[in-house]
Order: sequence, then structure tokens, then C-alpha cells
Amino acid sequence: MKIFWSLVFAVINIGALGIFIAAPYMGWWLPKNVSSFGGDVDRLFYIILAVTGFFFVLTQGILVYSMIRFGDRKVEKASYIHGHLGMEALWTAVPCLILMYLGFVQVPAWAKMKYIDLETWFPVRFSGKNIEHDLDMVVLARQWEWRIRTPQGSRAANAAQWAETGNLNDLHLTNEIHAWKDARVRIHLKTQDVIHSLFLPNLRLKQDALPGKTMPVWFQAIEANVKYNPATGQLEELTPNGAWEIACTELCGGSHYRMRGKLYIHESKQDYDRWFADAMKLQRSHELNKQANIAASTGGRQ
Amino acid sequence: MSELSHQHHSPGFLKKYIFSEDHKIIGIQFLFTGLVFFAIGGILAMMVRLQLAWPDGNLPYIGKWFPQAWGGKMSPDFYSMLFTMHASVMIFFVVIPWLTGAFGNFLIPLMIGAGDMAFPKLNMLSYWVLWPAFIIICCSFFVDGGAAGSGWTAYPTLSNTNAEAGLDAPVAKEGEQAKKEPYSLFKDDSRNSPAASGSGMGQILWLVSLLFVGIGSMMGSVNYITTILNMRAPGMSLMRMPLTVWSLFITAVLQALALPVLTVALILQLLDKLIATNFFLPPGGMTFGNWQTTPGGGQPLLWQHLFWFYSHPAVYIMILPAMGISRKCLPPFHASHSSATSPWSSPWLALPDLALLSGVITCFKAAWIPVLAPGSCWQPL
Repeated sequence: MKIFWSLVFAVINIGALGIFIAAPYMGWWLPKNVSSFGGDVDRLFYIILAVTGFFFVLTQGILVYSMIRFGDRKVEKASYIHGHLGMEALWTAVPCLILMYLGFVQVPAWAKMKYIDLETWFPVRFSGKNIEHDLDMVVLARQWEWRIRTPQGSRAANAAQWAETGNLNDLHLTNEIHAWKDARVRIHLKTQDVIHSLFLPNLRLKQDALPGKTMPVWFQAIEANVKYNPATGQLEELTPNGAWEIACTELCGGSHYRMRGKLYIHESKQDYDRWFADAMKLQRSHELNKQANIAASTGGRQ
Repeated sequence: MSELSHQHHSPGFLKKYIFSEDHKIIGIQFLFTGLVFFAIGGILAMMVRLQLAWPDGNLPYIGKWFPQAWGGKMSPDFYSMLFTMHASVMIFFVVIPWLTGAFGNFLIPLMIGAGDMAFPKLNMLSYWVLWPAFIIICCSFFVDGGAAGSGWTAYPTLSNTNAEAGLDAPVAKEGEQAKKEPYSLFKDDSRNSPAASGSGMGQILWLVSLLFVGIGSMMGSVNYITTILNMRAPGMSLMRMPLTVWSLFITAVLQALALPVLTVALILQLLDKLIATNFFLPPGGMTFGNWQTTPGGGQPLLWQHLFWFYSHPAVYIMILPAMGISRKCLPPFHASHSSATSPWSSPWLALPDLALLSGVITCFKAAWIPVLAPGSCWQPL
């Protein structure tokens, strides 16, 4: 009977292991990666999973073997080993080495995420030098939405200054990040109230926004999910389930759960520019309407 | 004469079972108050689960008890309060009092052959100083805005922003005197927070209550360290000490080193809330809706550094005694009656734990210099 339960235990373990092995191939696990550095992040994840998986198999295998071998039949007594210095040194050294390996193997991935140009190890932080990027963007977090501001002509002339003050002809959006495929996007991440955390799961990007600070982040999407149709003024999804999410991942008050948005990656800069021009027109007409409304309600006095 | 002396030596009921200096009684006291809070924390967790099971619908059973304005549903702020208080209660009022308070008190003197703790009165105090914390944390559920709701980590500026006094007070109509209601702790508008509804009076009581827990734990840890180092029976060398006591000893050392930092952080946040200091408020001020706060001069990140200086070791404070106990309890079940349970093997078993512990703590300390620890994901800089 004990063998029966040992086998049940073994089957459950093997099933669990099977699900873990199948998950990456079935797309059950991570959202689709569309980031230039996302592959490195995913690889780290799978390396750690493989290491823990190996020890899972090892320990559970020994456990099941011992249950079957020694559990029921009183054929022989298990032997106990005490004070084996070699074994103890081994099981201390092996985890040490694994942790050291993980510590070093993560460095390139981290560098790619934090530094916009790996060739020169140029920091994404604003040092005033001419950083190679294609699109500037201010993401301002507040309770409970993302406010996104992009400059006319994609790049701001004096980005650090622009991030704080802005221009009159900036495009303002709420809960929508727009960029195009292969664009190097530099985000100036800010918050106006509490700590929020910008999370773009498909881009493998997560960064806390701290009150009183402007945090630099960057990404480069290697796939597009929308195409702008100027005739209808609509964004057309290129792929099924093309909506990529923006989420807040730091508890920021009661309606934290509502702080979500969408990431739109256009297929080319031309497509983005067409959309930008129309969005800008729409914003102008809203502004004119608003001014007209104010003028009407105040009788021309302001 | 003999009767008199007998009376002199046997303390009364109060002294024997309530304000006892006996380590076993104190251990049992920790165990049972921990049980009460285990039930409270469990109920909070069940309510979280209930909400998750009916995310959009009207809640069965408890829906009718909610205020009319919520419409039989759980308000988001109430939900934040639930998981915040669940975590706080379970960590500070259950796990730590149980593992260090109950097991530490009961087991240490017995396992090292000491008559009692080194400082019996301090030991009694380490339990009774928790009672203000018990009472305050229970009261905090009933104050205006509800109990603390900014997570058990209580990150500023969500947790420590105060509205200006009178911001939420009803505006008096023209020609009418504003009614001044008598002061009540449970209806104190002046401490309401614009960031989260639980970050007003609830947060203040949370901070005060945790202060008492911290002080109690520090008293306990000083006692354990002294007892273990000085009061072992003859022949009970450190290397012969049972592994359970080793684990409790390391826990006590960790607590003595890490807890004062959390206590300081709690005091700083309390000052931010009570007398409008700016330890954790950013220089630029913040904007909540139409309301602009006055510029601070502090740094919200400072709280994270101080808080995690305690809370990373706290992970080991919570796991080490449990590991020590299981290493002592497990061997009899696999018929290993030989020296596996003997103190001889303990140093060899304790060494990996020690190495792991110091290694992990060093890592986290290094993580505060981002260059040294590129992978420290929690470090937002």
C-alpha cells in the first residue's frame, strides 16, 4: 500500500514537472516578448528555472526512491551518515557557486536594460551628451492614471529641460503609449503624488516612479501591433490579441487596480507620424472648442 | 512558621499566571495571544478571498454589513485595508511572537539547562509591552478612514501624506457659525490623508502599535542572547548546544541588530504624520487632484532603505526558528535515534545556515549601492 502512495506522489511530481517543461512552448507562461532586451531577461528566468528544476527532480527523485525502497519492506535498515565533512563542504559549495554564477550572468542583461547604447556603455541618464534615441516621452503617473506627453517631431531639443517644463505643441495622452517598431524610446518617468511603478510586461520593463525625481527608462520594441488608418482615423490591430498592457505594479491607493493602459507600437515611423499629425489636430480642435466654450460662458471676458 | 514561609514563597494567582516572571508561563502567554491574533489575521484573509471569489458581484454573507454607499460591494480602500492589516497582524502579532516569543521563552532555558531567563522582569515586560500594541491595533479598525491601507510596507508618500487641517471639514454656510464638534479620536478629520483613506488616523495607530511590538521584541532578543551566552549548564558548550537553540540565538542576534532601524523609521514616519516633519516627503511637493502639498525636503526612498534593513533579515527571523525546530523534530520520525539529534552534530548543521544568513544579508546591504548589485530589482534607482 505504501508503494501505491509513493507512486501517486511520484506521478503528481512528474505531472507538475511536465507542466513546467511544456509551459514556455505553449505560451502559458510569459506574455509575448517584443523588447530588444527582453530575450536576455527571459533567458535569465529560464536559467534559474532550470537550476531549481534540476534540484527539484533530484530531491523528489531521491525521496520517491527512498519511499519505495525503505518505506514498506523491512528488508534492510537504511544507513545514516554523520559528520561527513566532504559532503557538507560539497552542498555548501555548490549553492555558493550557483549563486555566484547567477550573480555574474545577470550583469549583461542589466546593463542592456539600463544603458541605451551598449557599445559605448552610454548611460540612459541625462548627461547632456547626444544620446542616440528616436523618441522622447514623459510618463507622469498620478492617482490613478498615466499621463503621457510626446514632443512635436519625436525628439525634444533639450530633453532634460523639456521633461520638466514641456512645450506648447506637445501631444498629451492618457493611458496610451505610442511608439514605432525599432524606435529607441526614452521615457522620463515621473509621479505627481505617491510611488507608482510603470510596468510594460511585453517589453519586460518595470520601473518605480519616485515622487520628486525623474527616472530615466528606455525601450526598443522589435514588433508592431497596430497600423493607423488615416481614412477612418482608427488604429487597426495587426495581430490578434494585439493589445499590450501598461500596468501599475506598486500599491498606490484604493484604485491602484484601475491604473492600466495600452501600448501601441506602430509598424513604421511614417505610420506613427501620420497618426501623430491627426492626433495633434484632434487635440487642437478640442482646445479650440474648450476656449470657445469658456469664451461663450464668460461672455468674452476671461 | 513553616506555613508562613510557605505562603511567602508561593505567589498569588496574579503573580503566578498573569504578571509572571516564569519563562514557561510567559511562553504560553505569547502562544495564546498569538492564537487570538492568528484568528483575527485569518478572518481578514478570508475576507480578501471572499472579494477575490466575487470580484464584481455583491458579496454574500457580509455584503449586507457594508455601508449603504458601497452597495453590497467591498470598497477598494476597504480591500487595501484588509490585506495591509492581514499582513501586519500575521507578521508582527503572530509569526514573530510565536517563533521567538513563545518557542524562545519556553525552550531556551529548558534546552540549555538554565533555571530561567537571565532577566525575568525584562522578560515579563517584553510580553506586557505588547498589550498597548494589541489594543491600539484593534482600535485602529474603528477610526475615521479605517485601519492602515498602504500595504504592510507602508511606503511613503502613500502612507505619510497629511491633508491640511480642515481640508475635508464641512464649509460653513454664509451667516452661520461653523459647528465645532467635540474632539474624538475616532472622528479626527484633521489627520485625513489625500493619498489613501487608511493613511490618516489608521496609519498613525499602526505606527504606534508597531513601535510597541518592536520594543518588546528588542527586550526579548537581549534576554535570549544573554541567557544563551551566560546561563548554559556546566558542560553545555556552544558547540554542544541543540540546533533549535542555535537557530533561536541567531534570530535574537538578527533582531537585536535589525529591529532598532525599523523602530527609528517608524518614529520618523510618526513625526512626519504628527508634527509635519519632512523625512519622507519630496522637495517638490505633491499634487493630489486640485490640492498641492507644501514642499518637503526629504526622500521617499529613505523609508525603503530603513524598512528593508529590518524586513529582509525579518524573513530569516521568521524562518530560522522554524528550521531549527523541524531539524530537532524530524529525526525521530525517520527512526534515526543515533547522534542525529545529539548536540554533536549541531554545529555542522548550523554552519550552512550561518553562511547562508551572513551571505544573504551582505548581499542586501551591498544592494544599496546599485553598482555593486546590478540585479537588486527592488532598488528603484
